[in-house]
Amino acid sequence: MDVLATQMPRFLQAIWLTIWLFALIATVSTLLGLSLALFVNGPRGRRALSVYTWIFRGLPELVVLLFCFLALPRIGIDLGAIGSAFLAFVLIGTAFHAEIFRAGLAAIDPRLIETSRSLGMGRMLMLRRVIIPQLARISVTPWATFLAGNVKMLSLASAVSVGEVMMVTRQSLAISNDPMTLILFAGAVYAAMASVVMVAELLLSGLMRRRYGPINGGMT
Amino acid sequence: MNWSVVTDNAGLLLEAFGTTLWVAGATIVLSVVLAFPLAVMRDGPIRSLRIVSAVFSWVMRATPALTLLFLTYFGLPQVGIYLAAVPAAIAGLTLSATGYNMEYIRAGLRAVPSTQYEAARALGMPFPMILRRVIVPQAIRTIMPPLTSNLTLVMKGSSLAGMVAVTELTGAGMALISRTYQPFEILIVIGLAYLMLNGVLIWLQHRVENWLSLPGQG
Amino acid sequence: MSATDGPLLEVAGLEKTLGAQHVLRGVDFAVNRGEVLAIIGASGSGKSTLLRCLNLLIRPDNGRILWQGREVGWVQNAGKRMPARERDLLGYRTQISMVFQSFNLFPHMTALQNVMEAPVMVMKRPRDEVRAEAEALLEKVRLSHRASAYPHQMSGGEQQRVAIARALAMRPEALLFDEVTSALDPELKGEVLSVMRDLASEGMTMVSVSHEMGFVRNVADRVVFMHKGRVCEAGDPKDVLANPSTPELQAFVRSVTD
Repeated sequence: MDVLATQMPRFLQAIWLTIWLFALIATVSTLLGLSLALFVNGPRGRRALSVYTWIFRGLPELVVLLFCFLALPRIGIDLGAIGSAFLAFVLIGTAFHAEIFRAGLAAIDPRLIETSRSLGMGRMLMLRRVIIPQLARISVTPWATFLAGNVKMLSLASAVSVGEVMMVTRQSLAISNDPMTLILFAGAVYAAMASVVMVAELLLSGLMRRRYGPINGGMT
Repeated sequence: MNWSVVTDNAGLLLEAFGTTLWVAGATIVLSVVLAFPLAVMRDGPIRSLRIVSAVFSWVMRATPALTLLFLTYFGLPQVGIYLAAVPAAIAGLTLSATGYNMEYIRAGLRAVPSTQYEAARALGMPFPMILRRVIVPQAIRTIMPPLTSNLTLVMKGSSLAGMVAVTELTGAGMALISRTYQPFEILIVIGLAYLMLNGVLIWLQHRVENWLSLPGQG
Repeated sequence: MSATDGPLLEVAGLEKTLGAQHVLRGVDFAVNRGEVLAIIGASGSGKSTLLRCLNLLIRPDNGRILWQGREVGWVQNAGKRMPARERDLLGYRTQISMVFQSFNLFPHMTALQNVMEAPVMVMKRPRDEVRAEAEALLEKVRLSHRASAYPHQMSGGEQQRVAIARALAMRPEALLFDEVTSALDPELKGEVLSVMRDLASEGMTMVSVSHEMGFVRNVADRVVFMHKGRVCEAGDPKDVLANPSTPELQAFVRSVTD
């Protein structure tokens, strides 16, 4: 308990680092994943995209992380601990988000697109006014589920000595004879952060359902 | 690129591959076996069991697998439970996977219409028989796809065991890298091994889905 | 009153509240052995809840259910009246079998397997004997040729007839029918109703919630009209339907004949 108290300033710093790293990774990988899902077309592009997503969804996050941190510097790309964690999680997150949004696009009612075209909408207008709003409805739950997992995934960054919560926990373990308390505290911190994401999703999808009714306008 | 680091240590890497299979396999089996009764409790008739299993599921899903792993490896000895590295890793990973599997199984059980319970009760069936003969055979179609796709996550998750001194693929890789300092070759080989396992599991997933879509399965 | 000469099933003062809804407000009636009782009433009058109380799928809050003169659903425990445990109701349910509006066949079993399930699994009877009996029951509902079909391969009328065979396979003393033709297309209602008519003429005791006025008039021995959770009128269907004495039944008869 005393170790937890003395380490508290470092824990608070670590929590702050975890939060902004998460926010940055989530934003960048969501935008990249969305762009890939929307704009990669044609058989060749689709093929390349599916190879990319298969690799980064299939590899353990830890292996990707070690690759960015240990192997890339050997070919002259040295991003440091936080930089390589950022790159690794963006590579992984983009792959997942591209999959999530691609599945969401496939679930949009084709009659909505037909209707938009019959109204003379161009591609970009249709994207902005019809497709993205529908996609937001359909994909919000899998997107937020992935992000809640992503918060927890950041604990892996401790493996490459990024000073986030798990890293401080591991360092504190070395000087503590009460590991249980430290680990339970770390668990509670992650659980709280992941729960915020999950609750936000519930509120957001509930709000959209109340305002806009069922997905795809309830067309059957 | 100098691949001799891989060929020289082929024995070690193969052994580590075996450990990965063992850790992942044990986690999969244990987590499914544990998740089933918990999922039944979660929607069951007894209020206290409902609450216990709901809290369990939420805690396990909200906490990183790595933290749970630390709990079983560093934390349990404090309360007098000493586990070797591999069993401790399996225990931690199982806790994490059980939280997710519970939800898949529960969703599948809930997807069976309540009229099926009613019809079975009207035939005089006791609750365990209703589960075994009526609910599970129907729920299995909904349960299996997410459960098998979760297998790939469990397999990936076994890499965390490398962080508590288990020499599975990733742990062995980290040890080799710090000894030889050839991260490229080692990580590429390890990555390929994981992708291969992933391919096998995805193939398995398709087999299961095909099997479930056979006539007579509903 | 001995078990043989009294009514087979008797309910008294049955009450049930579901959520905020006082669905049953004291229902009394009796069914004699071999009798066909029809329960009619507007939707929301408590008919389906009443039926589910009869085999205790739903526990009534108050009132008594007497089966062959003995109370079911409650036990005397140290002088106190306690609800019986679910597992003590299982034997009773096999004696008073139910057919549902939406058939509720088990989708993962063939017609024959659906019929055999309860006798083999619940009543632990030998499989060969049950199979022979189940085949005979499918023949009785004119579905021998569909024995190996799965529910999704059958029409609604066929599914409902399998459901009747499944209920009969427990050799029940009485059958409960919950609007069994409501979910069927008009041309499929006839085949189910004719099976029910056969059963009635064989002397099966039946309690049927029904909207089929033809069935009520021609097959039922007695009709009970439910209104707002109470028995509003009861008697011989020909009399009661031709000369309804309460304004509620008059309105109901008008609405179903229009």
